[in-house]
Amino acid sequence: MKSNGMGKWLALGALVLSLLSSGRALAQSALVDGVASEPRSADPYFHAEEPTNNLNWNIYDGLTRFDVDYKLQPALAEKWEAVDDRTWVFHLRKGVKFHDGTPFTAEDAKFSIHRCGTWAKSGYKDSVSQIERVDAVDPHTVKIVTKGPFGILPAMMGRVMMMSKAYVEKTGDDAQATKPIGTGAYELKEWVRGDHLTLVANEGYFRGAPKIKQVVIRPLTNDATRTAALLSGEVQLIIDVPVRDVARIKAESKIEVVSRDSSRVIFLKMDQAREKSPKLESPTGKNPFLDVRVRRAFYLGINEEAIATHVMNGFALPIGQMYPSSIFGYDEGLKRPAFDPEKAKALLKEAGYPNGFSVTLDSPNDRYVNDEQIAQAVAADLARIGIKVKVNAIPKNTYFPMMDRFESSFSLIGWACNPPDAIRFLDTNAHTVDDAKGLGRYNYGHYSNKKVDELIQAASRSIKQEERLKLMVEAQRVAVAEDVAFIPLHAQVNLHAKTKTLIWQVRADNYHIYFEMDLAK
Amino acid sequence: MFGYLLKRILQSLGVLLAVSLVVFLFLYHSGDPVQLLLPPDATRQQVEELRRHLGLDQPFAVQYGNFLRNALQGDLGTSFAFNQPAIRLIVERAPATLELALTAMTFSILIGIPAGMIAAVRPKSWLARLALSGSLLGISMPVFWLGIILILVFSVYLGWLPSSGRGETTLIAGLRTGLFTLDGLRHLVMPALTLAVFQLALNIRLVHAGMMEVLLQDFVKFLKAKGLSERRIVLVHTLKNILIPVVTVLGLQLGNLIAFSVVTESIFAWPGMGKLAIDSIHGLDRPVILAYLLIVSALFVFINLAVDMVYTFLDPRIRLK
Repeated sequence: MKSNGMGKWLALGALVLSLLSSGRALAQSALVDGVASEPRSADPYFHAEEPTNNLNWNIYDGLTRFDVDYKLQPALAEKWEAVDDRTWVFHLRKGVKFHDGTPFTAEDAKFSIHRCGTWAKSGYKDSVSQIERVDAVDPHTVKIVTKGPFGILPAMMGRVMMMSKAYVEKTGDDAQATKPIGTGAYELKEWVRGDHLTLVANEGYFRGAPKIKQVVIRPLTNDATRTAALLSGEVQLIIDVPVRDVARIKAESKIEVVSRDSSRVIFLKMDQAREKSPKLESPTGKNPFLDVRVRRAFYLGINEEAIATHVMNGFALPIGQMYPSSIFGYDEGLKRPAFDPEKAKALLKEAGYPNGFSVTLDSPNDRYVNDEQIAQAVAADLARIGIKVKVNAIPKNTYFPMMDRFESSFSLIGWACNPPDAIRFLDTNAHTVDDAKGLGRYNYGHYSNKKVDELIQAASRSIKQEERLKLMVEAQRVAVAEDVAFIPLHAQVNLHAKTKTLIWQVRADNYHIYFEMDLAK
Repeated sequence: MFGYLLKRILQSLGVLLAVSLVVFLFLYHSGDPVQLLLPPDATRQQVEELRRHLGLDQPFAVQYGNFLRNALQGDLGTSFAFNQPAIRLIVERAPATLELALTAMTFSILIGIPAGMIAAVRPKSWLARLALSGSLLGISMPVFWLGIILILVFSVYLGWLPSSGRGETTLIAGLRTGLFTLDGLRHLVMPALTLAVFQLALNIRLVHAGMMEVLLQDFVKFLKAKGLSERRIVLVHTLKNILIPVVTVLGLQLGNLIAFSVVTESIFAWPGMGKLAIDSIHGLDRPVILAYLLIVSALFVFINLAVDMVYTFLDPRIRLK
């Protein structure tokens, strides 16, 4: 038995010695990307979640696409125009082929949009729900008729990936999850669940052959493991760098942290509908949030600069509106008012709450970067103007269903507009709750202002972009500056880390689009 | 023997039924998976549609009844997150976990038992002291901490071993294994060692304590007086007498190694079923969580049964009734 143990040790030693030689030969023309979560399916309509989209947007293309700055660009459609306010014509690029060599035509586009909206398991139905009819006019022209005027249709088409009609019909819906055929820059070669996915370059890609010939995506869900894999050179790129590892990475000479403001804004919602709110106790017995002076006092009483510096380690952009500058609808003129606890106290007194009141702040604790800590900091700030805030930080799995039942008085939440158009926020968060029309689905504070509703509806109806911009800017001014319907805190910053040999500009939408990358020799 | 087996199997089925009911009840009350499956801007109507599609709008009794009926036909449901049968997902991942657990088990036996014996027979040697103090450390060290330290030392600073994943694997009889490639073995060393450490330490202490007790017994003195070599006394007669507790613990711990490889697997991004389970819990992927817990429970039950059978070989006085 003793010799057995010795033998094992000897074998181990031999292994260790042989390591240096077999180490890192692979990483030359191939990129290994360490992602925080495994994609769920290669079917581009299955789930609209970031890691899954990230995979599929490398394999497929939409009629349109977003560039690194989140601006709309042509993709499978060369150009498009609105014939009238309900009819759009997309002119498809000629000579585009799927990975299996068959040409991409208008029939494929028609089929894809139809499948996106009707496949039972589609998580993307909302992207096409405003479409009434799709016609293939000729092999390179698609006509889309919407139910009503729908100004963001071209942007929506950047989310709907184009599949091959013949291939999907031949292989069936379920096969798409693991054996995708697209027109995109990469083909899926291998998927070993939980371990890695291998993508190989599509040399015939219509935007040119990708510079990186092979990409391996490895799900490294543990933050420390992901950082370690980058430090040891096993991966060349990682997403979602934990804030605490930034200093460690900066100390290395061969790797660097790259960051960009994300489109996700963290903000607070207040119950503005009920006379008596469930998680609130005030001396008058009424709901103080009904008074705009109270909401404004909250806004002025929160020291966001301090939150950005101390809670977020500087990786947050304090903001005075509901979306950052990369979103269409951003308002240059709308600034965050300065932190002013004295004025906040005065406002509370004026509103009849000189001694404040107590309220519960509901927050998820596993959804946004440092979400629970942000809620704690908000509570501490508000304590200084006399408001007793109890923080209720719970997992997102229970938080969102609770919010859906309108059981909250005061809550912390985040929102990212996708596609990057402010209407995505306004429709879902600022419009009066209207389940029948699917509006105000996330308006957890039940904010309701007829003027804002009209502006939002007008912006939805219009297909003239300058006019839409004006309407959306006005809607936000009323909702945020006049009504203080929401209290914006900051835009999250996305952190990625990479080897310096990887040439890449961080995208505003946080995606890793490998076509845009190159490895220096 | 046959009657005994039958009784045990029936008992096992009862255990599994109870497990499924308890887990189902917990899952039923733990949040809404539909919220996590749809994009944030999905309409209420879409939410309801998906809920109906997944059968989540049904009352508890109906959902559980459906589950049982399908389970009897070998169908434990379809993963919400991956849209594939839960069983297939777990079976796909099982070889990785078994490979890791069995390697860890091998480490712990090949190192732990001899080390414990040396510590008992030669209590004053440096090896004994190393084994005993090392085992104390091994029992008290948190697994995740050890894993991170190993990664920092061997991957980040020395660059000798890869920090994560399974590396190059080969398909042997339809099972994916890394045991036959150098790259696969390099990936296996650190996670297996991390997983083995607790049990290794336990084995040392268990064997050491057992040996100390048995070595003082009269029959050992008698064997010595009879002139048997020390090697024979220790390796044959004493070892036999301490094996019952060791086998019991090893058996239980094989179950533990499989079930609690969850932590090790997530640190080393090891694509086993433990990591799948954790990911599924985060995503409230009910069918996968349920299937995983049932399969692991079945493993525990089976291992316990196997341990009881092994007793009869180790000690013929034990009769199974």
